[in-house]
Amino acid sequence: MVAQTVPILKGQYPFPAIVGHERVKKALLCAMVSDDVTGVLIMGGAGSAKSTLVRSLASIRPELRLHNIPLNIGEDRLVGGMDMEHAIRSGNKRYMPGILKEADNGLIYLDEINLFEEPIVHKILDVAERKVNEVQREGVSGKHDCDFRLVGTMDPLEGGLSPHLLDRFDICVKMESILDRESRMEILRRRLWHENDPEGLLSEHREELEGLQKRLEDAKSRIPYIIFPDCFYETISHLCLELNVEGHRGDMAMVRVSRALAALDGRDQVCLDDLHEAAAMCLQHRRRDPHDEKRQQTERGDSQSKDERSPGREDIPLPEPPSDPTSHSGDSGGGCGKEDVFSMGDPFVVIDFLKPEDRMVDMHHSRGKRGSMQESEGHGRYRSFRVPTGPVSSVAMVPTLRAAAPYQRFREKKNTAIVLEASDIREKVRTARSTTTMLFLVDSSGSMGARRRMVAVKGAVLSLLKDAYQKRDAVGMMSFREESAELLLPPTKSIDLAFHKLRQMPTGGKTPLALGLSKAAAFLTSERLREVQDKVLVILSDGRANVPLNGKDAFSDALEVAGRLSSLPLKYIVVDTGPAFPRIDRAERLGSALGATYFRLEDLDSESLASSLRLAMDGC
Amino acid sequence: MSTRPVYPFPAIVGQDDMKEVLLLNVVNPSIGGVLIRGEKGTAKSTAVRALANLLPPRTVVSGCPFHCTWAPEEKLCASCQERIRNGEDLQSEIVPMKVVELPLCATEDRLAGTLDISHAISTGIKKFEPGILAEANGNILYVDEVNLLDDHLVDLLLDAAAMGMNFVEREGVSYSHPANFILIGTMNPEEGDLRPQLLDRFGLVADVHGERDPLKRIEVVRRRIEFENDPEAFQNGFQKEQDDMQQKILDARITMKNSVITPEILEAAVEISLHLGVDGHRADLTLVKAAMAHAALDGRPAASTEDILKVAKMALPHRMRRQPFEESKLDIRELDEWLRKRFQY
Repeated sequence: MVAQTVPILKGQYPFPAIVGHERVKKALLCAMVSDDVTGVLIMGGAGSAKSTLVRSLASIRPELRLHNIPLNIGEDRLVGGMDMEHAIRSGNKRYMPGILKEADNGLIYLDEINLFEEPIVHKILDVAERKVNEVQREGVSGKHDCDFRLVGTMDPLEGGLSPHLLDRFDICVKMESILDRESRMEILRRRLWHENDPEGLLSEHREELEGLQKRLEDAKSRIPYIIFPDCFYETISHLCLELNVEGHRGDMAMVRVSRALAALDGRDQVCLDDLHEAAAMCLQHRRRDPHDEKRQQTERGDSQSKDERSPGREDIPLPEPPSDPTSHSGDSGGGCGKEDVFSMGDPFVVIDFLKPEDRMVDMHHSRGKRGSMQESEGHGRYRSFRVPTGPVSSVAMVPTLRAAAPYQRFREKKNTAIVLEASDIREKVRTARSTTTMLFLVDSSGSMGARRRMVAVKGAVLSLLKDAYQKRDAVGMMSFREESAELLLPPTKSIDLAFHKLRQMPTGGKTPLALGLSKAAAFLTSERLREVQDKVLVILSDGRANVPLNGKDAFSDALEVAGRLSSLPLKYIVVDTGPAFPRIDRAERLGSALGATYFRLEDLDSESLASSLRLAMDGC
Repeated sequence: MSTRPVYPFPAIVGQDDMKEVLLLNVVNPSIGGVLIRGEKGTAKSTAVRALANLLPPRTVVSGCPFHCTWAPEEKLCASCQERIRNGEDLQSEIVPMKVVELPLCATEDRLAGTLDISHAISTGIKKFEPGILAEANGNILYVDEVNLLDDHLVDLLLDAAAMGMNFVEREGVSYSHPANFILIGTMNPEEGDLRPQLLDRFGLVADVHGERDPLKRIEVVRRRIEFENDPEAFQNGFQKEQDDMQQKILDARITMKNSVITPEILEAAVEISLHLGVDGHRADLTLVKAAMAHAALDGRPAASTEDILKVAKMALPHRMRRQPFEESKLDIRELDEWLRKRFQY
């Protein structure tokens, strides 16, 4: 088998030829210079040159081998496992190291890190921190030193990374879009040049490249002797407290990164500018929403829940660090620019509105976290294997061979190297992402007709749609007004379609709430959706029903229906669209009757939806 | 693949946009693939399969499981390099470029390749069994209904497309091989979206609609029936047109080799992207490449702003939105007017 490294230098885009992205470049250089800076995470949209940037590192440090980890890597190849060939030959089990061993002293690159399975990323980050890989699997054990640089890239639009993984990265930086004409043209020119004549582009930048290499060498030799003024420890802890930084990794990262920055700048002492620059790289992704204290305490370990941060956190002022004249050695040139230090956007904003904790009533039939992996029969992705306990549906061939390997010396053979016995058989465990079908039941009656109200509702739906997109849910839409409830959109994965339906939705007339509820529930429990595991009904209404179902009071009708619905295997969300003042509690009562997660429209708004609302208002 | 008769490309009635994007990609494979969006029964698959007969032949290393393009040693795949190290004298071979289809039901193992089980059982030695990505190297990879492809397969596909390499690290196998292919996908938008990330990977898009003109509709049906009755005679009837088209592609490829990139073209591409607020850099790049291919098909070595405008409606519609739900309408007339004003032509 061949060692997997991306070809070095030859054909590689030269690092200095990349236009702009100064902060990201600096962050990567920090990781190149200092052995202590463990991980760099880069966020950016599709086509923003993230990968080009990372791969171009090979042009400055050709000796640092870049190990590209494929998305579907198996754990056996990552950490290592039993050496099958050896086992067949000798009958002994022996540990065979995996990629982590090969990557020792190299660079591990996780492209689309947010799409990896979490245990894999977790393992890699764990080893990165401990610098040792310890394995116990398939009856073999192994242990080896493992010191590597780690770079991850991701497009936040494709889904977030859970905070405990984020926190493991010393540095997290964002690619800014380049919008000025000259730069864009230069980017294009160089890119085309590179494709036609990579040598030409390289020679154009050779001098810069060599300069950079020299600077890195110099910085590396400087690192052990960098002076970190004592008073800065205090500055850092103040800063972290003030910025609501979670845990202590941020503080540590600040020290390491600011030292690397000083070294890169050719100084022997860390100065305030370094701290500022380091803060922009190290702290932003660890900040916690100050309004969210309560949640933080209750939910360790739930990956989505800690993501919530309000856009308002941008406003937190940077505390003035204690001035320390000695720290300015003079060559850093000028004061500490306040600039855009804390202006990184909101890629971490995900609102998991299906958290069981938010429920008024605990649902006994809740099925675990949305978008999580669940074991499934027959379809889905083959993820692991096990010793079968009953009839075997599909044999996991490779694990079966591996299980059989150590016994081959003792088995009678005819023309083959491996003979299988029933006890060797391993079966596949498949998991499918538990997809959810969501039905939006939108009250489009006259009471909602106040134009601004409807705009807000559409904004709320839009934000829920966005979340559905990231989790790859199917979304349907039903609206009720006048005398009827109408299915506007059968569940589809085309979120765009849902968006268009939403825009065109007519408003006005009376409110047949009870009818809407029962129709929606009937639809969700119908035969055609039998296969769907998780079904969610999102009700957007102010609860002011005025069309009764059986000729009684309209609202008590609705409550009665809701009571019946609460025993169905559905999840409910009620978004109260009524005005904040004078407040009516009808939607809330409806929510209780359903056992629903209850939100006020305003709550949604304050949490994360400002931008989507704006979007909706532009459009509606 | 099967020897079923293939409908001749030139015999497809109308659908000029679709034909054009396909041809542009054949002329310049680095454009990065095609996504064809449209309702059912609009000749999407027919066109892609028909393309196979137009493709120029390629020179490959004989016996390479990944069909390495004939090149100096350092550009060959690991398996070819190993053969050279073992003292083998590699031979070249001319093979037709082909359309490799990725079925929706393909498994991860089949797509990326896996451990060769029978080899392992008979010899006790691990060997890599190449998958569809290996087959697709140097060829066209066609995914019908790409929007219905499982997420984890899409991710794999994207990874390989982005790197031009396929890395396999599972089931005890560690292997990598080149995976450079032209990705062609078709989809019916009513059945679901593609993620923006995947959209952005497709160089060009064509939106196809059913023919509205009754006379043309009749022609579509007439030809189809004629083809089904006697495929060979039908094919012969279009042989001349097909040969001409293939020659045109070959000529264009030669023209491309000598083409020049003018600053005006770069400027126009950037201006358009900025004007429309397209974020990433793939749009700019595709605009230039597609414009050059467009000019080359026309026999001109240099692209003009006119070419850029022609390809803008293929390179931009799927890249217009930055958020999942922003409106993504490309107003060609507005763009046209703006361009004319901007570049005064």
